[in-house]
Amino acid sequence: MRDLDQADRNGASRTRTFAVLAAVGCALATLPSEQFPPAWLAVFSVPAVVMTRVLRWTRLRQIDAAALGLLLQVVAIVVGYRLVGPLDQLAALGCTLLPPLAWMAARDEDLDALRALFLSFCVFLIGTILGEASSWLVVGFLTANVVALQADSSSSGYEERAAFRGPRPTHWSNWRARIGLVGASLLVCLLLFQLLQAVPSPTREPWHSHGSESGAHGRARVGLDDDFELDETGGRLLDLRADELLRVRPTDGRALPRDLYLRHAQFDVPNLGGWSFRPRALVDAPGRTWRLRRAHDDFIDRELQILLVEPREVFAYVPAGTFEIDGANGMVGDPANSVFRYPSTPPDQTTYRIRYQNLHHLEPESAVEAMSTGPGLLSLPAGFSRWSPLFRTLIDTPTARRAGNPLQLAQAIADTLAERCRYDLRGPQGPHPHAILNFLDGDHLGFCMHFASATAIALRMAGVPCRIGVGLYGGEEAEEAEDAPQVLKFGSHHAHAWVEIPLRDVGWVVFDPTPPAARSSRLWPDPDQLAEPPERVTLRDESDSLFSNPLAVFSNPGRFTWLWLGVAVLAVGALGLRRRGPTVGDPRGAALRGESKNAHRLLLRLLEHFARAGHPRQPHESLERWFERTTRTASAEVLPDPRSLRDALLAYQEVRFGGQPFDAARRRLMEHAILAIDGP
Amino acid sequence: MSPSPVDQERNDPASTPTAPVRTERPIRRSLELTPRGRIALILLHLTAGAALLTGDDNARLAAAMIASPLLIDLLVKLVRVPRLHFEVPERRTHARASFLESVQIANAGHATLRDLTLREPKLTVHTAGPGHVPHLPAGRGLACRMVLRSKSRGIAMQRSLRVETGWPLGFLRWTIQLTIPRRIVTEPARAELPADLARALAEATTRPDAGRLGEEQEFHSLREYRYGEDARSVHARRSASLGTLVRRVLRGLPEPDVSLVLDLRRPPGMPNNYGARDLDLHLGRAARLLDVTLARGATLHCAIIDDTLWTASLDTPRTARAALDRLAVARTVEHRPLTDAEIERLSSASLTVWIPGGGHVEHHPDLQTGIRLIQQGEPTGEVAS
Repeated sequence: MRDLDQADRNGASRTRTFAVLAAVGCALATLPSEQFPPAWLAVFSVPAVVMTRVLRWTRLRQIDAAALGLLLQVVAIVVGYRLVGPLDQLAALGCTLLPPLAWMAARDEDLDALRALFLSFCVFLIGTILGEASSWLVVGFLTANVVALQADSSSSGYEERAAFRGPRPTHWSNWRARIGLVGASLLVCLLLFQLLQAVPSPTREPWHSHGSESGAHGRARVGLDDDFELDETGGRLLDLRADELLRVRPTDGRALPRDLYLRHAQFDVPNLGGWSFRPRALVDAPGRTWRLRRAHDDFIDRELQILLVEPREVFAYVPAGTFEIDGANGMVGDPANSVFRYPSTPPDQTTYRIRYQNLHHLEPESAVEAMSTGPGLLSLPAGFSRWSPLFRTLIDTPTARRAGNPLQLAQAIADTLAERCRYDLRGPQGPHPHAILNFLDGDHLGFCMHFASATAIALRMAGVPCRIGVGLYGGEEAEEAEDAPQVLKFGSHHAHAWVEIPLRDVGWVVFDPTPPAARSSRLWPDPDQLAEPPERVTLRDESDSLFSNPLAVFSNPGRFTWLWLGVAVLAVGALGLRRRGPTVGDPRGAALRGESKNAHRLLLRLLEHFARAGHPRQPHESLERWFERTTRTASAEVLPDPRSLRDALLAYQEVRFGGQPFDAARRRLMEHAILAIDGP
Repeated sequence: MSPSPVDQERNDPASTPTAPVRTERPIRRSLELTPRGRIALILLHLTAGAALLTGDDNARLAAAMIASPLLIDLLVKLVRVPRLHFEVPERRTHARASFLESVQIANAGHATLRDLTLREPKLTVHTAGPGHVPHLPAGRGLACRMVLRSKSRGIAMQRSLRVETGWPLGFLRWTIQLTIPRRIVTEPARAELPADLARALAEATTRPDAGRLGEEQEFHSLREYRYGEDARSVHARRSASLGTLVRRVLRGLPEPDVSLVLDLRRPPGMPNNYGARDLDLHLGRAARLLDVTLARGATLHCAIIDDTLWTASLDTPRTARAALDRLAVARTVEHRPLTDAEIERLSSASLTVWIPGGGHVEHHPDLQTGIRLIQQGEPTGEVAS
């Protein structure tokens, strides 16, 4: 019996150990490898694992062990820093969880399994937040957790000292139950995930869709997912509904500039769902004239007068390459980033003069280098590692590989995009959760933001710092009096996005990846047009939601891989959990007293026969001891086949103590033993 | 093969089960959170709150992943409500002596039950652990054995069992507490007799030729050998043929006669708790004396003085059990003088052992007290005549 308990305990404990290790593996696999290089994961895990072995094999005092562990960890970090390089701050913070996780998973004592599961869940969440866990990793992690919890629950019963232990279930029975539990857990998890989406949230409307939705003010809002908003300190370009926002008049006597990029904001923090910007300190204008930088000698200076016709927002528009603002009274801004504002909406007909240089007229063939900037302008979206192959195709082209400077590389990327993608105001559709991914791997339709985003991310992958500039582009000639100077007027429909690259000795240079043919057309989708029911596309989360359209489960099964997977696993589990064999009608006493008594009667008959033959069972003598003595002393005439006697006694004990039925087979074994001693 | 638990139970002199009885319906069945479940619930609150407040997909995923095992655990437990039937025997045991209890469990539900833990909280021996049933299919039953120990003497009219199961995931736990109307008699723990008393008893109840046929004795019958009896009286051949020990019963000799007086009266004016500390020792000696006397085949005239005088001649197991039952529930009583009738009834035996259980020492001149065990648990007695 003791050996049996040991075997049971080992089986359950082993399953638990493997499941915990699998959960830890899944959790570590969710960490984005760009931020958490595997070498650094090893640096933070291996010392703890080594220490568990050291403590198991030696008798170190706790204080000595702690000191040794600390020393090992420090040495590992130093070695890792030398060999792999620095770790980013967020990743370093996340890695602090790894030593205790590795310690708990490797030690596997007492409550270590549960602690390791908890820590691995924390790591899993970090990985999910920073990156994006694939469905298979989520399934694997949840499966490992459920199996580990079940095995831990069972093994705790075996690990506790017990005065008695009943018959154990078979391994197949155990695994059948586990499969059912895993399947049910996956399905419930999926349903809960969907259900939570349906519950209204203070920060999210129910039935939220990625592509478009009615805003709080009934106006259409468009962008790369909901996160991409042209919004900064209270202004939103898209919400401006004006045919004429401003007028631009050249005051240097030259012709109207046709490639004017009037920037009002820039974004430098990428995300797959959109871009945002780092907090910046806005300072007051130093006076009427705000000199931003020194003009370059190699570019032509231009001077423009900008008239804000009926400003309803706080934006101040300045061309890329601006080096001086005249009439900046009342403005605030960040000169380093060339972003300017008014503290409040300026009065109508507000005018200021701009002196700027068209830096984007730099030829791509010029030998220019990207300016050395901080790591911020090279950062990639969170969870990018999974999708990086999509963007890598943009810089793995022969043209891009041949590019000798950032502008050539940007041009190569733009050419590739122009080949693969098409300008369309509706935005991309496809199987991916983010519009930018669908732009590259879906229907390949998108507008300026998608072109600019894809180009910027690809440039950053290639090590070229860049950002997104947003504002107005192009404009149209105003109908003025014939003798009046020519004027460009800009409306909200001239909103545009482009890429800006910092070049050494030059500054921020505009690069526009949107196909030139599309730039001249109406650049930004009309909110009114988009507010109408979509004609050609049904946005993914809206139409194929499980709750809004249950039939989509059958009409579009590919969209519900999770659900089908859960149903399949549940079906297998249900088949496995099906009860085998009929239930005994009245369990009360049916299998207990009667069968035990019948077996006991036969045992007494057997013992009586042996007693008559000179081998009585002594008082205080156990059946086992009596069996050993009898087989040792009995002659072959009395006991021709010791195995039959042993089988009979085992059959009795199975019925009496093992809860087994006294069936025909066991009865036959006992009767056979009696017949053997009676003789034919 | 390992020793059979049944044999162990059979060999346990301190424990005697009687016919089992089937349980009544469970009195309380509760589903409660385990510590693991509480922590998971707290995490679920946090993540679900974050998911609802922020609408963040990661928080939603976390909430769903925590909630799903909890829900599955709850659903499985609601589907597999443990419906159990129990059979527990009546029990007679000694205080502080462990015994092996066999409880018959049958699964009366429609689903297999797993990882059942069976305890009798009042009697559980923690070093031995509970009974563990890893797997109990529907409609099946088994005998679950537990090592139990009753700490103090007394008679309980019911047994209380507690069954727990946390299967499958251990976030929630089914707890079934049931009371079975079966008696458990806890006799006083046996105490050693003082040497002089033991010697006097041996002289009074043992004959030098015991076990041999002589001129004044003849064979009368055979009966079952009882644990503790003189082994020389065992009939070897008959025992061998029957497979169990039997002994001879002779007749022709006068039966030895011993009287035991257990005086439960406290000295005059003493409070209720006077002598409570030594009472168990006195009762243990009385029980031991009863055992020894009966084992030697002598007749014991037992008298217990409390509010009344209870007397009985103990010559059969049944009468002995009645006396032991009284010892199990014995309490000291307020002092009262003995009546003449009581003194007359007490003064008839040839050898009287007087145990002042309540602390009062009777000095009546008409009482022929052979051995008087004095209070405070002194090992030697005050010996007269």
